[in-house]
Amino acid sequence: MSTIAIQHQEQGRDRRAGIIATIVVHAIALLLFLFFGLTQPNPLPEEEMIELVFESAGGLTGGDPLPNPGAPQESAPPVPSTSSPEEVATEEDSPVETPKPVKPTPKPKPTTETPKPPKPNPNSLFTPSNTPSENTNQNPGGSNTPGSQPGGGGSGDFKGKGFEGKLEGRGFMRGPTITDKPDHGGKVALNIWVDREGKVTRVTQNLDKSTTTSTVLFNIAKKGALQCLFSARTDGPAEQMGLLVFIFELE
Amino acid sequence: MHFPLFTQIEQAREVLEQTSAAAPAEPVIETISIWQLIVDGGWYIMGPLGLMSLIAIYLIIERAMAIRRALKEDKDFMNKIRDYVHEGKIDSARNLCAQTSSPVARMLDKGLSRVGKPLKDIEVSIENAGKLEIYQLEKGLPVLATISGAAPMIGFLGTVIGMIVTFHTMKISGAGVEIAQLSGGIMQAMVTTVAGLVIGIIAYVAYNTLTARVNKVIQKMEATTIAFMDVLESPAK
Repeated sequence: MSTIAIQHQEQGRDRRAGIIATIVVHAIALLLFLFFGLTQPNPLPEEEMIELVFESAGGLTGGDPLPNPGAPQESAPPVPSTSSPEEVATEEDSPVETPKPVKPTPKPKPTTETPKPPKPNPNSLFTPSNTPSENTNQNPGGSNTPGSQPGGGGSGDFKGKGFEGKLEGRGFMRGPTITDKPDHGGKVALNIWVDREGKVTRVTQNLDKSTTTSTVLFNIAKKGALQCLFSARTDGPAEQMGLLVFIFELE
Repeated sequence: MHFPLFTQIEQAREVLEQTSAAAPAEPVIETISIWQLIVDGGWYIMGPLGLMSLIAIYLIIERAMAIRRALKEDKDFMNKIRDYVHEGKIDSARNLCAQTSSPVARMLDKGLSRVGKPLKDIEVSIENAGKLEIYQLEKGLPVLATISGAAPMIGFLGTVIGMIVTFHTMKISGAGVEIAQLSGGIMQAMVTTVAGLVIGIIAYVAYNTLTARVNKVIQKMEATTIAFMDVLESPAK
């Protein structure tokens, strides 16, 4: 048998083997395609998520968490005034709010004068509530415990028209004047920090007790909260945290 | 005309439908076979791709067998040829080449048939025989290369067609378009891409592998040619 004949014979054998192998490979693939597929549950499982709540804890120190505003707050012992306030190294444009050093007051003076009530704004949503609407006694400080005085103790609850709150051991002196009229309602709870003089120094949103996340309402509430004034407490902590809840209702 | 029984059945059916609609549906594991996906790809794209798959697999297997046989090496083959040539037994050497089915043997057979002529002529005849053998070995590989390049492109063509179908559906349906209406075109787009890429990748890898093996055969043929020319030039013992 010549070389060419052998070569042709081998080529024919290769072709046959190739055809058979091709058919077998595709038949196996076809069977796999028929019997295997993609499985998925119908209906699809619901999305699972974890709610993360970032609460401010300890300010810049990052240390102990702040006490529960609902819990009774012990009055801190009077802090001896230091000669120089603590310096905090921060950048000017830092997004982190740092508590401003409180100037030590040389001698606490109990204020006996009651602040003059601001003129009521006819357009305001809430009337100033230093004349407490719910308060039965005549002392400033909303519905503080009976006999509470500015700077005194008590449960610290206060309530006004459209807002309520809690600040241990303080009397409520001046309420917010809100002229904005939002187009939606809701409850905005704020954590407020009050200095020794009774001024609200900073405000953060308390999402746990809020029923809305509206930025518009939060900004209005924040503006109102910063207008509030509480009774001075010279022997208290440099900053005292409390709760202020604004209830926005559509007219 | 209403029959009370039928009315009750109808009411019961309505209540059952309402209840089943209100109750949360039990999750059912649904399976969609790969074959169904292939059918969703559309015959005008999946058909050519299937044909390419058949051709590619056939060429891969057929060429792999041919090249594997060409690479089969008989280590004593060249020694025997050398002995026969030195002893002047050219016919015996040619018989040995005829019995050995390999490109190298066929090439040397051509050279042995030219013994007695100038070495240059023998070398040229061996080279020509070698070129024919290489052509035989590389037969089908260009087709495989074409498939490796064309299959993904056909798959992408299916993708584009699928997206055109999807956008056409969106255009017709307007704002009331539903996901189910769009999924057909998107499914076609994805399936054809996958099919084209799978076939293209297989063909590409096989083409490169087979080309490398053909190069190995060529290198072996060149080495054998040089050795054979040395045998012809070296004086007989």
